[in-house]
Amino acid sequence: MDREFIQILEIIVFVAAGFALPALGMIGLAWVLQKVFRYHAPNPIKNQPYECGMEPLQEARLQFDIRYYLYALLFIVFDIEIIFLIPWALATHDPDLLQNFGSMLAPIEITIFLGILAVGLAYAWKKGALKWE
Amino acid sequence: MTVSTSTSNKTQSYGVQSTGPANIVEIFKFMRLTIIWLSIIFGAVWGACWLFGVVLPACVEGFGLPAEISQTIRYFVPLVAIMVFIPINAMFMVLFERRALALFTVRKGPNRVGPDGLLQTAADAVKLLLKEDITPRGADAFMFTLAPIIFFAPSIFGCIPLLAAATGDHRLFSIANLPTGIFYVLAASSIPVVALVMAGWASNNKYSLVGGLRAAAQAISYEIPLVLSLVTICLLAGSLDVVEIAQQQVGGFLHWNILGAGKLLAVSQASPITFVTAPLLAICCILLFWLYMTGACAEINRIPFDLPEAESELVSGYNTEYSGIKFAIFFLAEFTNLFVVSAIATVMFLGGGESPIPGFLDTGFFVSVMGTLNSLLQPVPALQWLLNSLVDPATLSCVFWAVTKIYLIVFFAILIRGTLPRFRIDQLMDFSWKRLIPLVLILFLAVAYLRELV
Repeated sequence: MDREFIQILEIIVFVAAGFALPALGMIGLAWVLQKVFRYHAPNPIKNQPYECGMEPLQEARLQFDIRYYLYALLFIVFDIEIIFLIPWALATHDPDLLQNFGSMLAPIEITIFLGILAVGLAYAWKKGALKWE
Repeated sequence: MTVSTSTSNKTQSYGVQSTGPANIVEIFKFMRLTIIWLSIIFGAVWGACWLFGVVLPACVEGFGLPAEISQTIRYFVPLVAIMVFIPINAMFMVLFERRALALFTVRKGPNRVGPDGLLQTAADAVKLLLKEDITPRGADAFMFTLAPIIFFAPSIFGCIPLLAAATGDHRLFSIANLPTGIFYVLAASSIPVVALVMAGWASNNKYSLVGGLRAAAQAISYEIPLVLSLVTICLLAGSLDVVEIAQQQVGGFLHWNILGAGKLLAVSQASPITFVTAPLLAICCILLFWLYMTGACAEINRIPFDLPEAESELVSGYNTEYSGIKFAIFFLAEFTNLFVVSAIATVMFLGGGESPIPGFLDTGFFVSVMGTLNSLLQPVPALQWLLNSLVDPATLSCVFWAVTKIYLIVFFAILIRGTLPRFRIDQLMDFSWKRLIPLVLILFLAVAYLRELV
């Protein structure tokens, strides 16, 4: 069999095992023990959501002001930037590129790329997007 | 330790009691406990791998079955190693942290269950397994159960490539070495935050909801410095393969990535500019290590970044409503994540399984010890076979140094927890977006240029 094929199978088996260990080995085992020894005895007081002993006044899932949606937008920009940087970081070691264009081309290119992003970050900073009210 | 009754010179009497020889005894006990537990863990993992990777295939071939079956069994050795290692190791790390924190605050820590508290966390695990599993009123039962599973799963399947790096690409584990190793690890390490938001939303509890949302805000802020610092190391090493990155750092601590991957040794009179650029590169790499550790502490929600489960503000954050085994899973997964980020730091910055000083307990030393043992066991061929199939000196030295470095970093993280207070949420966000991200961008560019100039 092909080495890559085996590695992909290996990852699939690992992911399945990663979910199976806590699901079957821990939660499943606890559930079986609970069924066998019958100590599962829920009651309304026990099942009440914890709020320091007070009766909760309303559902917890009320409307909530997510203050960080601007951070989230910036995060997407930077995360995609990292995806672009990884192939660049590996391609700078390519001997053909070094021979044909000199060793300074790649760093200058990435400076322009990151410069544009830095201007964007500075703009967001100045506009107050990075302020947590 | 008794409380001093004299009200006059209070601080002095406290000082005398806390820094006497008693504390040295506690340190000795702590180190003894660490060595005993690590021996248990690695004995168990080593034995399981030996049974599964050497004895079982030999038996299969002995029965005359085709070689494909024994080869297929060997492919599952990394899985067996991880499944045995992670639960025991997480139990030990809980005890390690509690005892270390007790040392810092001059207490004794857990010392009742088993000899010197050795079995405390094993007993805790059994207790949590046997506790009643409560689902709060109004909670989404399916999501409530799924959240701990999703939180725990990445810590198991995320560390496949690290296993190959920590064993020095041993033949049983080299199948687990992916060519895009660090990328895979980072992809897996960004999954747990989904589980935290799920846990917060499913619990029907206001504290949990706020904790889950804080976890999301924190994860998206600190992932960028964390990942960019690792990408910078990949730029320096020219590879995403963790085994290759670890093997490039052979030859003492000056070759480690934290000191600029051996560029300090390349300083020469022929190009005077290297007298400036090589130390600058080393400084950049030390700063990158600091950035990585900061981002990692924030990603795995450790003090001083434990806003999602801040006890004094949010009771217990996203796991307020969890009890029994589901709480245990959250707990174990947090410690496993600490171990995994320390392992990444070891492989990427601290030379993986390489000895810091060439000649000091390195592979050659272990090989010579093996040779001596082999010649001693010459008259008993069975024992000699057992020793040679059980122990590979190169792997032993690699695992020894990798684990030593990982546990030093874990100890450092616990020291930080025992030292620093918690951030405020606005300080937390500012620290990432206005300090760390500009710094990591500058360092990335600096390394990109300095690498060409050295």
